[in-house]
Amino acid sequence: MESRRKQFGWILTVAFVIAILMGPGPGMLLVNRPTAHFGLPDLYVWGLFWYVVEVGIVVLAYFFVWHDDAPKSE
Amino acid sequence: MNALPFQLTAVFAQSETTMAEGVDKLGFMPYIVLVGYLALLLALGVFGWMKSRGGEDDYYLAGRDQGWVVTSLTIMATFFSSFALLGAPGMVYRDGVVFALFSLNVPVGGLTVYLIGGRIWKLGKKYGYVTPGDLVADYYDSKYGLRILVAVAGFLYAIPYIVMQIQAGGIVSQKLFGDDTFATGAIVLATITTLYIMIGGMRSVAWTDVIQGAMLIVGMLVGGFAMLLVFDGPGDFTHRVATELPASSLTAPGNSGIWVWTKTMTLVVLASSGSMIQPAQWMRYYAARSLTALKRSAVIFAAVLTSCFLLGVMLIGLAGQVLYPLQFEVAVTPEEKAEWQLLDDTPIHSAFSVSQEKVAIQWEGKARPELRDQDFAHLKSLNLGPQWNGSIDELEKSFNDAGTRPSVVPHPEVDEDPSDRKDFDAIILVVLNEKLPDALGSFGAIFASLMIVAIMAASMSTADSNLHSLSAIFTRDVYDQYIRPKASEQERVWVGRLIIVAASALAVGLVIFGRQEKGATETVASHYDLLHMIAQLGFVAIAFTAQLLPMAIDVLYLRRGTKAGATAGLFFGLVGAFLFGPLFGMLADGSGLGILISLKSVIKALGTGLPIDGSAWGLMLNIPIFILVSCYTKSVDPVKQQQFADVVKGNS
Repeated sequence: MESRRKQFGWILTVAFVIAILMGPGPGMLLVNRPTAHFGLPDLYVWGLFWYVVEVGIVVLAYFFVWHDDAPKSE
Repeated sequence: MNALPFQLTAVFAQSETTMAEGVDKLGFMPYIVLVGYLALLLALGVFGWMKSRGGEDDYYLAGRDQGWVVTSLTIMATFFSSFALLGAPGMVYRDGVVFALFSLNVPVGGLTVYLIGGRIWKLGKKYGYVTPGDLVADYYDSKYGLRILVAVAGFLYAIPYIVMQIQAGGIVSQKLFGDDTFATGAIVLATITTLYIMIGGMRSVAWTDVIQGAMLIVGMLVGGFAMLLVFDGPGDFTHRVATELPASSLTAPGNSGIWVWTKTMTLVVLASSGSMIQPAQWMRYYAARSLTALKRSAVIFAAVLTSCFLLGVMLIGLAGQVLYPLQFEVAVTPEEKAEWQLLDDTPIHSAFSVSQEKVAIQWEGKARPELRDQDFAHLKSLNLGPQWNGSIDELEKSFNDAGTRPSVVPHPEVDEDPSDRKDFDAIILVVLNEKLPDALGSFGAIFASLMIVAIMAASMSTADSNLHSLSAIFTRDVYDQYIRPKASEQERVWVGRLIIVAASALAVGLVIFGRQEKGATETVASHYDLLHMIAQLGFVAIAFTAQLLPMAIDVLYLRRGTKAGATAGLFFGLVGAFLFGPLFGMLADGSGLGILISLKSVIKALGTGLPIDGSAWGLMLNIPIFILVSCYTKSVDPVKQQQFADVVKGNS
């Protein structure tokens, strides 16, 4: 159980790094043009998409990776 | 260089109303809401004092008993500075949609709350730490050097942030109630904030943060929504953004040219994590009741705060660009100026200060009727016209002269000072004053007043946290270590209160002095420039605390570094962040010393070759030096390493 939790943690870490590289990183160059989709500029839609991805990763980590081991106080 | 085929901006003289006049549209509403809000803060200060149990743990950490609602809101309110409601809309107004990508720094901050904050909380609960210096000095067994350096990093973060917030209070007051109220606004903000921190300590700070944090979240989101009402609905808004803004406002690197992907990505990774590791946040991790409180705070921070920027601030800034189009300036030679004066009966200096050596270009690019044939030809070749939405890069190319990149300036109704138009941050106040009451009637006036109070809340919630942490750092890391090691807890708390008063007074003096002396000398003018752009000041501060990251990661995760390595890494990291930030450039220019100016040139060349944030430059020195020195110096006591490992892994 613990090893699966750690494995999932690593998967989420890699996914988050990819989200950073694609969102504000070099991935932005893929959509860096003054055109619009859904009525919104492409770069804005790009930012909203990676926001959903990043928050999704944080929520998954909250439910499946982070646990509440507290120290005993002295 | 070609003559400019644009109408000169005689429009400077045509601004319909000043903002101070514009506040008339809001009536007495801002005064009523502001007074009510300030009275509530003072009441919470008194309530916090009544609930206090005395002692340092209570004054600085509210008895380490803050639940998840208070923890999440106080963390968010501390993070939300005047940058959130003044600087960020100003940045969107200046640079356009690329800010959406910078907003992705906030989920990184959410992760930091749990991954760094959670382990800091565990160690704080086990060993009773109050400041970052307590933890670091205990682990590395450093009584002097490292503790002091960590304290210096904290000071370097807290002082600019306090100055920035107090300045924001002055700006809000000035823009709303007239130029002569800048000092009053700054003093009122500083005084009220100082009072409630002194009375109730962390408990009052956290409770006021709850009110302020909630106001900010609602204010930002509803502010974005209200922008849609200023237009004819979301469809009209998005259509006008997509068709009326220049291409450089819809793409990276933005109008100012700074948001290249290397800079954006390094800022996204380091701005939030650097900000979330600053002393005031670090102390909030200690103050949480449980790890669950921090876990929930991390998720709320990432989800809610990012949406405030993406759906609130973005809409405000973009609406500002549509309603108050940007203008662009280019430098011109005296010969060109003389030539232009021959072209037009209107002398250039009547439109813009001659001493500025600049001519402003209206974004609409309306051609002068008396343009010569060759100017019309040039206009045609550039495909310019009232609806031109090419990029600033095209504009730059049209001059065929490297180094004359046009600079972007706000619309004259946003910054009314024609000799020094840099104040993009005022866009939200202009929109609130001028557009909301017209669009929404009396509801608009109430809403605009609440937004103005939210801006004050943003400033106060950050100023209080930083003043409070500054006081803790001074008493625990300096006074208790070097000045009076045998001082009682009660004495230290009182010294902390005096520090809060002194720091507030110093910050108020700096802000007011900088304002009054504007333009008196080059040095002071440069100093004023630094104060002028709120966001800029924030990035300077973050670059310093980001240097704590390698050490924190070592203590909390790796435990391979040594005291000497951590000390050397932090020292050179701070030096690097200073050299590659705007402070050093201003210092070099002000000093006039050849060696400093030469060094500045070298640093500028390096920065041009690798355009990353100053915090990343600092870390590029910090991390290798930390690792290298750690390889050859005495390691931390293995028993201590094991103790820390057990605590952070939950085995102890």
